[in-house]
Amino acid sequence: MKLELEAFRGVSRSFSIKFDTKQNLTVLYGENGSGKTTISDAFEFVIDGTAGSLEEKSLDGKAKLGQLVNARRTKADLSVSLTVRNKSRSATLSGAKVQHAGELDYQLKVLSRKNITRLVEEKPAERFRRIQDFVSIPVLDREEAALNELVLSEKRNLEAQSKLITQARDILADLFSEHADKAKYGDHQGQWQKDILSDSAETIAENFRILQDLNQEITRLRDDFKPLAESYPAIKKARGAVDREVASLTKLIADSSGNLAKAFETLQQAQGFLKVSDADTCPVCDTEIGHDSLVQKVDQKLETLKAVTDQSQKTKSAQEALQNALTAQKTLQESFFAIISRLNTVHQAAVDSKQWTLPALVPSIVSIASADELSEEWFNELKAEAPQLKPLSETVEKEHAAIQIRKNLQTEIRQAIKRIKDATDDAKRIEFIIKRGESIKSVLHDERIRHANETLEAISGDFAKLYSTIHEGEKIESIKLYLHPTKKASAQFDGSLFGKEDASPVAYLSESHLDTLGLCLFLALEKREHPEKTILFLDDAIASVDEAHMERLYQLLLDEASHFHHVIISSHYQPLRFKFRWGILTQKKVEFLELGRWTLDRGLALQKGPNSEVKFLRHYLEQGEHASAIANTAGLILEHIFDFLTGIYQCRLPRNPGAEQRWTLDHYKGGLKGEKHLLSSLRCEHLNEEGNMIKSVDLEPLVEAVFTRLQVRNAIGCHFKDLAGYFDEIGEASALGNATLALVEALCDENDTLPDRRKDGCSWHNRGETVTRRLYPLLKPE
Amino acid sequence: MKLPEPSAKNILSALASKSLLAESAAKELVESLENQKDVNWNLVLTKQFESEQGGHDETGA
Repeated sequence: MKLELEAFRGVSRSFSIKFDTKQNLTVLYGENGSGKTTISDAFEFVIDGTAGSLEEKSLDGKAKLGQLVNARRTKADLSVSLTVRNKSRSATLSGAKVQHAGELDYQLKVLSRKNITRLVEEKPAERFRRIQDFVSIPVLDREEAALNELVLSEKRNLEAQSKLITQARDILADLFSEHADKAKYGDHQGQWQKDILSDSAETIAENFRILQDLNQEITRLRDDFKPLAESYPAIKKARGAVDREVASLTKLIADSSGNLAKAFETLQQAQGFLKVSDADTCPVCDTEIGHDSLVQKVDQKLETLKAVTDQSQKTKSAQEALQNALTAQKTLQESFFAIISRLNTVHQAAVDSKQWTLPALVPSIVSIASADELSEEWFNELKAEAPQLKPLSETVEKEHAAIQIRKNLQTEIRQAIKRIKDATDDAKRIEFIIKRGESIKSVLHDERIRHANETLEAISGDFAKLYSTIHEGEKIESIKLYLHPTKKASAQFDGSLFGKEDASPVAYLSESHLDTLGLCLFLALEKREHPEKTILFLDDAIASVDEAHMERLYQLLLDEASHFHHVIISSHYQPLRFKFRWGILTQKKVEFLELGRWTLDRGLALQKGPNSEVKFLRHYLEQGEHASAIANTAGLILEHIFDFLTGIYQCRLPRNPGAEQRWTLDHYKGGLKGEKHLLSSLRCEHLNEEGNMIKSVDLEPLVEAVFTRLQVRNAIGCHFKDLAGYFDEIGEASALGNATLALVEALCDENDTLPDRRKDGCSWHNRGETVTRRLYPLLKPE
Repeated sequence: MKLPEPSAKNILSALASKSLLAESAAKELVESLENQKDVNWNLVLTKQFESEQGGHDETGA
């Protein structure tokens, strides 16, 4: 597995790191600020497209992905690629988005110490949120919620139906109160409703129609009464007018002589002639006539004749008016007769129905046989009898109103009863849905909880086992994770701790215990979901674990790592570095990588072993020119060798290495010399390819030769240049360099590699199939 | 996560033992859950109600 970074966070120059996935576990050591989290962020960026550890930081509103770009590089330069088993996936930034190319068959899970603490310490609901992917069955969650929603909705519906029933019952009670005959029914509302509804709709409709017809005819009779009443005097008046006009005409005619019409015509012609002629002689008989007097006489005659004509016209008009009045009366009489006939029929039908006791009609109405009989005398008889019709009219109106009310009552009662029935039927269905829905919900809920608790129980069993492996014999009887029985989505942590039941681990355990608890939980959870496809990255996740538990913890991690595709543990913990770097804890299936110090110019870098520097030292010594380079390179090699020796023999070194968090050569010297019998017992055997010993080299004189020259490194190689020029620099530096090479050649194999394996169980030997170096003793002599 | 195998069996068994759904309806429900399909609970329960009211299983069970 290879991770390549370009312009990503602290990576100013291209940086790549290979993980040996043949080993189950990689320990990535680096001091604070060396770039461990950068590597974990790069994993998250390339696999998940997130900003890793920056995701949960505020960054004062700045875009998180943009902050992944190295301070000296541009966004376009940034790229991260990961190759696992010949498949690659890369990620770059395009604008504010991550562009991915390629797919891997693996998922990544990163666990930082912060997340461990949260997993244990946060509230049960939040804890559940973190673990719910492992324990929940989403389809059951969803359907339980849907069912719950339906049940709630149906409960509201049931409430509405109940209100409808109450309202309908109130309506019935009000109707009973308003319309029922209390003397007859008392409080028996049901009987009253039954009686009201006993009449069929057809009967009521028929009765209603009969009374409506009767009422209608009485109304029409009343309406047409006045016009007919007025027609009789109108006829009389018209007759009188005709008589008067005829008398006047008769008189006028009598007063006139001759043929009135002929005379009138002649006179009109004469009048026309006289208007156009002014002669005083008659054109017929030549008699002398006075023109003016003739004109005057003709005019008088014509005036007289016109009055006759006018009177004749008036007489004619009066006669026409009379005729019209007679015709109108005839129409009224026929209409009135039709009303009377209908009234007789409808009244008889009403009487025949025997539904009511109706007053009889008056004789003038009953006796009439045709419209011609509706004379003024008859009318006067009807007029006299009219008051007798009033009781009938009142009875009909009253019964009509009563039947209308009954009809409405029936409608209202039927509607109310129907509403009650419908609502009751609905309520029955709704109650069933609620009850059955809740039961089914309970089945889904029980199954969900059963599954979650079964899973949690398995997880609890697993993590409790893991935890007890680390904290064996610490009176932590049991720790379990379970779902709260009533609170939804609430993962509880309980346990029997130090003899106390139901104790909260958060309250009783130390910070480092909680860290290991969280780590164990995380491992137990992650093992549930395709661990063989999972790359785990524990980023400084166990910093708080003390040395006493560390060995067991790492043994546990190593055991658990076999479940996953690969596990990477990053740490800045020095004792850890010693134990893994030099194989004290274990060398089985573990790869140790060390990050060098990060600098702005160089960026991230892997710490190299002595073999990378030895060839330079040889080269500088052959040149014999650069005292500083020789001293400096020798110093680096010695740091590795002494680090190795103090590491494998667990020499005491200062608790606080100093401001740079690195031990100096003097610290290592103190550590090695501080072990009374160590230096004198150090011996390295050189073997040939057949495994036969060629020679045995005591290391003490070689180490002491180096120790006596350590100040040269300080004086020339690095820090204290004050002494420069006061002595033979190249001579002293070469002496240091040669002493260093002598130690290297005595201790390291042909590849200048330290003997950091101890597979044979009796010595430290070099790596590879052929053992050519054996360093003794295996353990520090006591 | 799909419906785990024991869950389908457990749900069917619980529905049957409590006589909550007709056998065919229960099978249909579990099938929906297994296939991640949304369940129309109103329809399922209304059918069950009608079936119990009518005294027969309309789904054919």
